[in-house]
Amino acid sequence: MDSPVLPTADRGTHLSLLADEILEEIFLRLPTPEALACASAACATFRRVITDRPFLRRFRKLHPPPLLGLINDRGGGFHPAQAPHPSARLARALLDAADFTYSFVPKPKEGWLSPWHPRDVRDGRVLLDCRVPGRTFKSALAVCDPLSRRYVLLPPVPEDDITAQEGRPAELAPVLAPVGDDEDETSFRVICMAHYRTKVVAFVFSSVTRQWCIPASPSWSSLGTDSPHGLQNSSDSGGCRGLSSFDHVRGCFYSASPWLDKFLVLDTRRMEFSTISDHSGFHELLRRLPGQALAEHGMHHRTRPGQTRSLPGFVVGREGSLELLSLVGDHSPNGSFRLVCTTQNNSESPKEWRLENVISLPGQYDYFTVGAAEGFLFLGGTTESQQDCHETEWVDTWDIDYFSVEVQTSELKKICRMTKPCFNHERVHPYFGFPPSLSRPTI
Amino acid sequence: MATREAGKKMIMLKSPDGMEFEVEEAVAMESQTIRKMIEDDCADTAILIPNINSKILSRVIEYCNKHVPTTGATGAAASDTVAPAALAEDLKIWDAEFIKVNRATRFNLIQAASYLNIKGLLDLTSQTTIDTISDNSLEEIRSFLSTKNDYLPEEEQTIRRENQWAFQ
Repeated sequence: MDSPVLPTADRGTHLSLLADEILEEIFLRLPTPEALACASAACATFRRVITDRPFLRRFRKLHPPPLLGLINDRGGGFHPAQAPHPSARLARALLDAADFTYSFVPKPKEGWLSPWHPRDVRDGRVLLDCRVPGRTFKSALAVCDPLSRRYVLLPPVPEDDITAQEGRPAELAPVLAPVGDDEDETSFRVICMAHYRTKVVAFVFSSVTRQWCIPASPSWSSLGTDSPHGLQNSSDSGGCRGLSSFDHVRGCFYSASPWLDKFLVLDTRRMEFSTISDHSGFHELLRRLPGQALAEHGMHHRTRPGQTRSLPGFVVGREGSLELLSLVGDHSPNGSFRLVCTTQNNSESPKEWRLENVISLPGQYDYFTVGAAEGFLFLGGTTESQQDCHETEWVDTWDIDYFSVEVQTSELKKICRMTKPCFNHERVHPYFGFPPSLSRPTI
Repeated sequence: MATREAGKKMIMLKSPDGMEFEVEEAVAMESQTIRKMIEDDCADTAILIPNINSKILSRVIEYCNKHVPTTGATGAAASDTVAPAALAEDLKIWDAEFIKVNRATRFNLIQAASYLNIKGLLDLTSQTTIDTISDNSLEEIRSFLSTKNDYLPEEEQTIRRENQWAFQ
């Protein structure tokens, strides 16, 4: 009787000492992108194995791409992580090789002056918008890969579809949907959330179908809430900012910007909206604490950047649970700042938030939050030494230092410094990735 | 044929050079590849393992024997008296001894572990290789992984330039 034989491996049946699968297993365990790049320079075979798309995908799973820098939605350009940040050299290599002026993306229409502005950054892609002059709610959209200089100009969301809902939306918030584990790395989806009087509508563009569709349009009341307070560029008195800030955690977007007492959630795989209530009112309390608001500050000092109420950020916490980080601090001179971390208990119902951790931030800075991603909360801060200025100098620029706080370790790292005159309501997008020689086009 | 011995189900593994190894099913199932065959009922008789010679296969079985989880009544008395941390420490020491092999054997073990899908062995063999080459120069990496520089001079310059950030 014949014995069953295990099927032979795909690649060759001969016993070469350095069959590709051996090399892959070895290279997968190289500790850093630097070590991987060195190995790829050793010989053509190594390079072929290392730059193979499936291999890089496996490597990325074991070694999440490092933070290389920040992209500011107002300034637009890429701000590389600066020494002594561990990614400084990688970030420099990215900056040298990529085009973060987006000059390779054609303007949607001759005569349009406004350049492309980044609206979201994820998985190596940048979502750009270009405002149509004189029209506040509509803009042209494009998705590009600054490294490979590839791009897709999105067709406009059909005007009829937009206005057929409830007239003009108060706000359109476009985001890049995260790419799932099993999805093709070169396809993408853009989700444009439209904020109407009685409902929220998700317009979704898929790079595969090249069309917009409307997979979800729940009413605010069905989500157990009223329409968002404030707008992206103007806070209401409570510090809410409409649909302005979405943090991605495991396929879902979370936002604390529309309301004080609820968080908006969009599951991008199922395309379902929901809300999380802050039953205990703890987070609302944190956001209403005195010392948080601009008005508290009086007229003696110029307005420091980001000194409106900071939005809390959502991240994956230590146990893989959802964590919410709220910045609490005293904006008066020598005031101290802390991050209050709460986590959502997964087992209980209804899910309650409990206090997990308090992280004290180093002194001499006045902080504000700018977003969260990949287990990090991002902060901006102005040094105390920039404080004693007179009213006449209010047009001066500020030096802002940006920091990441890794939630797993509570470790705070300085990323870079930007110098600009106005920082309020800015959104800063982190760029995580590998340097050029270890990246493949994402479009 | 699968046989029974002292209440344990046995399974026969054959290497391409004709050697046969009778092992406990639980030990063989440390290999996810073999586990799948057994679970799919494809393993009534002996299983021929292509590409893995008897010398390497016997080492792989030795590894699986050591690493198979000890279970309740049939498990070794050790698990009742020795703390898990001490057991883990014991395994670590055993692994360190086990992997003291020459380079060719280690590469063969990586290939076998990869093919038979034995995660622990794959981690051990690959990590040991990495530990010996990391921080080494390009020349040492080449010689250690038995390759040679086959880039054309101008090609090498380009590759070097592309990866300059990694060499500083």
